[in-house]
Amino acid sequence: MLEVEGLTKYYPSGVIRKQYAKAVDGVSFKIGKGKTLGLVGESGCGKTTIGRLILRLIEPTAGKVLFDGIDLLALKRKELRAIRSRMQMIFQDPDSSLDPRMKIGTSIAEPLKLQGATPKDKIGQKILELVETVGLHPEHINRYPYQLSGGQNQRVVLARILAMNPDLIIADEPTSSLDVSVQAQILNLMMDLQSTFGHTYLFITHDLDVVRIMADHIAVMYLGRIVEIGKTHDIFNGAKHPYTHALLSAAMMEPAAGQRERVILKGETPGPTDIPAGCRFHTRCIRREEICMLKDPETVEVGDGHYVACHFV
Amino acid sequence: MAQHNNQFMDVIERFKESRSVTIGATIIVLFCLLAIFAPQLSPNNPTKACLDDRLISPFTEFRYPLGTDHLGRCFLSRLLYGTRISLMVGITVVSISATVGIILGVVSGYYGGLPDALIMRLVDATLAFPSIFLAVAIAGILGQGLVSVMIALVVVDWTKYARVVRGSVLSLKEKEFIESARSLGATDLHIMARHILPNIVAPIIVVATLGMAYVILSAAALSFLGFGPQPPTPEWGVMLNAGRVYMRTEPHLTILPGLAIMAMVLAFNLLGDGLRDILDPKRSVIE
Amino acid sequence: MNLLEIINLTTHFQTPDGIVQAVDKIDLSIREKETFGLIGETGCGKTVIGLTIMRLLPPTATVGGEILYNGKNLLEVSETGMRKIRGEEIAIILQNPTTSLNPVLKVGEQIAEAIRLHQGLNKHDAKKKAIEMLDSVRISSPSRRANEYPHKFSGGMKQRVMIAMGLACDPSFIIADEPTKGLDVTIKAQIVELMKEMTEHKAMLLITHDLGVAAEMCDRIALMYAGELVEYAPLDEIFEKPLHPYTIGFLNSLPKKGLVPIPGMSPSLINFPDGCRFHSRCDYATGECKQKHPDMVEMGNGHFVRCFHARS
Repeated sequence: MLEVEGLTKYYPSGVIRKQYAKAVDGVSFKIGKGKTLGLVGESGCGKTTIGRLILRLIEPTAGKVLFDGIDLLALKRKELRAIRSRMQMIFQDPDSSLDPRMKIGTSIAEPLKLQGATPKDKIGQKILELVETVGLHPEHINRYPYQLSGGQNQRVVLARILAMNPDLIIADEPTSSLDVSVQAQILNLMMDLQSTFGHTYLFITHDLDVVRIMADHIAVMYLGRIVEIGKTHDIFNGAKHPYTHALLSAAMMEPAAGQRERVILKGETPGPTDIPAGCRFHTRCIRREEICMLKDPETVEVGDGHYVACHFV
Repeated sequence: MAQHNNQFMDVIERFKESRSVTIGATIIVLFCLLAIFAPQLSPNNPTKACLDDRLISPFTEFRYPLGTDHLGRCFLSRLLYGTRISLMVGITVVSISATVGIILGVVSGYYGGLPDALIMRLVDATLAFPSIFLAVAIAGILGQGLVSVMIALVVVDWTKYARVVRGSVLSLKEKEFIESARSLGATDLHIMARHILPNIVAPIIVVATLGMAYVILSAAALSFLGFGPQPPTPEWGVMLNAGRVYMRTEPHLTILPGLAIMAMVLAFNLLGDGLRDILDPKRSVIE
Repeated sequence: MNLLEIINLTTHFQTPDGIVQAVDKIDLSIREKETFGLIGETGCGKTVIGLTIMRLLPPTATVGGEILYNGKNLLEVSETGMRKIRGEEIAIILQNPTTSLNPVLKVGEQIAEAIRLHQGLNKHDAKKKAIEMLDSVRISSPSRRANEYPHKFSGGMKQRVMIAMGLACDPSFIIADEPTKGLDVTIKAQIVELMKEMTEHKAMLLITHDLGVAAEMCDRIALMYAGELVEYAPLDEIFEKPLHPYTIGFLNSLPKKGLVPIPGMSPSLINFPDGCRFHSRCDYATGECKQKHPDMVEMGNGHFVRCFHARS
């Protein structure tokens, strides 16, 4: 369904000496139809940029994005606008994802009108259907976003997306600003919608626990590159990259976790302007050896669809 | 949070709460009524000179409630018609410069890059000229008159709107709902008209209201200096200038137009400041 | 011995839309050297408790009840007396380090300022102490970093600075309000580790929505819902034998525990439902729950719960 190859985005920075911030640096992955890929990483690793690059909300520096066999990066503006309706995005902050001056009903009607597939007299009915599908009440239609809670607004965002009837949905931290009990509501809704409509999801998040439930495959990103990708089960039970290990062990929970061996990484993630030479993770890695500082590791296949970029696999 | 189902009603509610808005709006409505009904309210023809009735003091003769000027024209009638001119100048200049400024500001903020650089340099260049200097130049080309004054003001005034609008658009552009509209396949025009414009109305209203005060004052000043309309036009600045000679003997000829200018400018300033507080994004509702 | 004892505490805010009952008749006690976790979701009033203890509320707030700190009622202390207590005896670590640090002051100066206010050290000594504090929160090359401005610090480092500032005057009680909010998981793990170490001999009230963090740090945990506590117990009890349906629902909605949502949403703090405040979202609700408001009852082992059906 979606195939990304060598996707790269450099931002020029520095006024006198030209430097580049390598936000995304040669990322490749595939998502099968109706499947979910969880893209996991910490802030600044470029995961959000990837979502926007795929939709071409920003223009990539290099790489290839094949959507259903169509090369998105070769499309002209007009063709792109036509195909965009098949790919939709959910953003992190539901409150700023909706126009504060539009009533909920108007917001949901917008995609229907833009698409023009629904006859004018059917729009009202369609809105009601959508509102019900995402678990809102008809009386919400005449409200404004500020009168609804974050969870409800995220449902409105989902209704807008359903109105476009897309094939691919890119969800960028859709629940990270919500409380856990509301997060559970929204994630459940998203899973229900997927099984009903057969959506393909690219699920971008920092929360490993969430992708464990949502995703079929997981890709772990560090500083603009995927360091490990594989089936969800393989990542949770047989992670090979030291960074994945650290992420897994940092996800805390339950009193008993205290006894488990913990990997606490030292230091901070370097910025995308000064990516370390050699393996980009070596500054924080607990298994670092000399080769890591010298040579960027190749991505190797360690199992069925399980790839790792580390010298020690 | 008030649960009015209508943002408009919410704003009306707040109007009532704010004293400066109430006072400012009342004075402005009053001025508007005076301007509209000037022909009915005026006891005399404002431009008809009657040399027998020169320099009558206010409240002395029933025919001329506020007296007459040095040519024997009814001062009350002149003041009333002056309201018309001031408001007309204000509204015309503000609406033209706001339209130009909003369009250029939206384009500049939304597209960025080259259009942005060009428009903003134009703004900088315009602001580098003193407006008096421009008015002199334009009056020199087109001749003195109300139109020259208005053109001179528009040429400078649009920059204010362009700047404010550009700033608001820049911060708005980062909001996800704009990106979301783009990913719905909306055209740029649709996004600007449906999502950006309605969201920058609040700051524009504030700037426009305060702009009215500035324009009215500047127009009066330019007229006072003689670049504007020529006698016998009953313009407040012109009247002020004409009355200057008689300041010692007939002070009402300067005091009354001065008061009129002050009242109108003050009213717009009060309204503008009050609106700024009401429409402040931190007070939610309108962001 | 209880270091802090909150008795029947009520904090209300006057707003144009009605009275917001952010904290409603709360009883709570914190022992010496204990870390007490206060867990709740957005808008349940948990942050207000911290601000009430510090007396940092806006004038629209009205406070009732008692806050006994070392036997002294903080609500009756004068403003001058309170200023002395703040920072020196009770410190608060705020949730947003980016806006809690003044962007135009050097980091070292900001810490030194807190020290000079309370310990009467001169400028030079305070600076030295500030550098020591930066070192103790493991900021590398502290004397150089002390002369830098906050924007040079990452989110995790700023949080370290906030901790250093809070602990600078060696308070005996610390209120930490969402100290790990917005941090990346690996950085969060570092901060939790650091805080555990730094507050080992101090009492702390940890306000958070993150059960994982609370599980790592706390001795006892209380759950707050709609302005009141619904359950509190030692840490293990909460995880192994949760009794209140809200606690159970909260745990089950975690991704690790199966992502089972609690239906509906929290009530606003202006209009509470009649009876038990949770009844409209509760699977176990009966007629009694709709009419009567349950009291806190002890279930043994220091486990308290506010539910009619806890025993069954």
